[in-house]
Amino acid sequence: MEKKMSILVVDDEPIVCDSCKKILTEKGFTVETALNGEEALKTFKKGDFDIVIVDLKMPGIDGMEVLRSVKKSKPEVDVLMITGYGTIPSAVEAMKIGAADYVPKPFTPKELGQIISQVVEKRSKLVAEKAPKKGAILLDVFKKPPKVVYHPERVWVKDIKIEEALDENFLNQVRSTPGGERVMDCMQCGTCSGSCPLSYRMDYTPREINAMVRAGLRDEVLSSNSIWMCSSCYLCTVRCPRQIKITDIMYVLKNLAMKDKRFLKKAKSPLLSRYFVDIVNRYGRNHELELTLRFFLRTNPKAILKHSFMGLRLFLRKRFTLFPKRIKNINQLRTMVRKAEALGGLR
Amino acid sequence: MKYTYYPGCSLEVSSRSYNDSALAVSELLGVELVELEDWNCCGATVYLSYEELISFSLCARNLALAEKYDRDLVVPCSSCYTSLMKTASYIQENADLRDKINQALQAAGLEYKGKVNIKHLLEVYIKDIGLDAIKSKVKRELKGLKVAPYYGCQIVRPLHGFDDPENPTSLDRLIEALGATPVYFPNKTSCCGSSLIATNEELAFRMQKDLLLCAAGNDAEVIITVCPLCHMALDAYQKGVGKMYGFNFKIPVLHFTQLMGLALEIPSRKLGIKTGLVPLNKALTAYI
Repeated sequence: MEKKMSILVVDDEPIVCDSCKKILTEKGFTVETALNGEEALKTFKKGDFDIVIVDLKMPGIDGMEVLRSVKKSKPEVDVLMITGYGTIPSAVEAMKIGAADYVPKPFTPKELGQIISQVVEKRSKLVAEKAPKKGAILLDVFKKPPKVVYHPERVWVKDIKIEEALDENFLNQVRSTPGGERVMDCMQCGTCSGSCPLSYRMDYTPREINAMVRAGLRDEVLSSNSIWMCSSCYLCTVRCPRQIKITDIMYVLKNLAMKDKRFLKKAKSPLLSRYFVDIVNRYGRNHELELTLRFFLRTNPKAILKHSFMGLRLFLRKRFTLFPKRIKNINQLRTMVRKAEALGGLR
Repeated sequence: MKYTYYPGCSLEVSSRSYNDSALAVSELLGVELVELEDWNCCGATVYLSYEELISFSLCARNLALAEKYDRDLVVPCSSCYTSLMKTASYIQENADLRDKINQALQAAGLEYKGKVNIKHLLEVYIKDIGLDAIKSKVKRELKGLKVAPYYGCQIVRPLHGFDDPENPTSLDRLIEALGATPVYFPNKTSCCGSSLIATNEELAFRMQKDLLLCAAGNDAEVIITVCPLCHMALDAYQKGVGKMYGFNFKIPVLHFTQLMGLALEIPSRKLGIKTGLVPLNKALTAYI
């Protein structure tokens, strides 16, 4: 059953209050009364009223003040003014401020009933208009929430101060690297994100990363897990309708992140890369046993036991060698690496 | 036909059976593979993540060494293949990169003019030797053997051009030439997650689970790979993947050269057939 509508009647004449209460209670409303403005405002504050009927002329706080106060705190409440014969112009004034209607004194129970019915009808129409229509909830999903909150997986609701975040040099670094030239061609179609086997676990999908690179959101991009999640399968690259080499852009971003410790706190991949680089620079070739041992010793010593069992089985099947093999001309390779380092890399 | 052969670190260190079978099969098909002297690591995805210029230079050193001979460079590992191909094409396309790589090479007394033609081993068999020639050498047709052709990502992507990047068929046709049956395998180019196996095992296992389920669901009796890393992921970790997801996978995984070797009647010991961690099943032992 619907909740009964609640009405507050305010008049300095007790007889008016009582008769109104009698008429309206019979019509199914919950009614409370107050004999002056002060009492009215107190009662109004405590209760949950839909309609207020107030006499315009009262000693102390008059009807006009009650109207103003009610409309200020709860604009959705309808206020009806009770007016004597000589106060019609004031009633018109009250209507301008926001009163719903006025009831000229003296009134018969029938007249009061009619005016109240009109107000009730108008209210129910308004309520129906405000209620969510079919499909309205769906539309809401696409609207930016009115309150801006931190929501790491959705960059558009993040509270970003654009002037601080913009780093134009970031975009140029990406564009000047092989594969990154076409990042500006991205039309945000999302084919990359839809194709990526790992986008579901990324802080930002590849499509978002492209947009963020263009917006210069350097720190957000380089500290995200997205760049280390990329498994380099190139599906995004071959499907991109604008031929943007997204996998290569991920490598550019990994390189940039590698240069700043701030970005490497959570990811394990940079550590693996470091050990790999160290081994290759030493022998000229990779040695999986040493790489695995060093990496797991640092990140997850328990895993060594598990892997050593597998390693033993592989070794018994003559699948791998225990000792690394150094290339003959390792000095030539090291000279080359040093020179490339001295050139400052690609950026 | 004579080629320069770049085996890559994995074939030397952890996938020797791929190397052995590749050499044995090539010899029988008249493909002479001469190992590139003093080759170095291609850098793979790991060095490339650290610093691209050095990683490209590592590949360029191999290309410079290979350029001394007037032969195509053959690579059996998909990861090395992509690294070398990428370096070669970026040296052509990007003047700034070319200039820096040349400076690094010159410091080491090397030079690369950009003339080396790089091919994957599968490409050599399919395009240079041809399926008809292979078929004529088959001594023991692998009749009825149901094979899942797994290409992985980096042999067909990014656009290397020798097969379709999403639905390649060369391995399927090779299987048919050997008398076996390629099963329907829609995940044939899905990533095996091998580059994440050390850093994020859970994610890698999830990707491998999808592959193994697809192969098992289509009744594959064996999966064949064209990359040592894919082989390692699907063979060595198969038990662990099954354990994590509650499946009892038992699908043997072979290098494609091992399967070819069986059809060409090369002794199984020479092919290292029994070196997989997943035990062979009846369907395969019938051909050994």
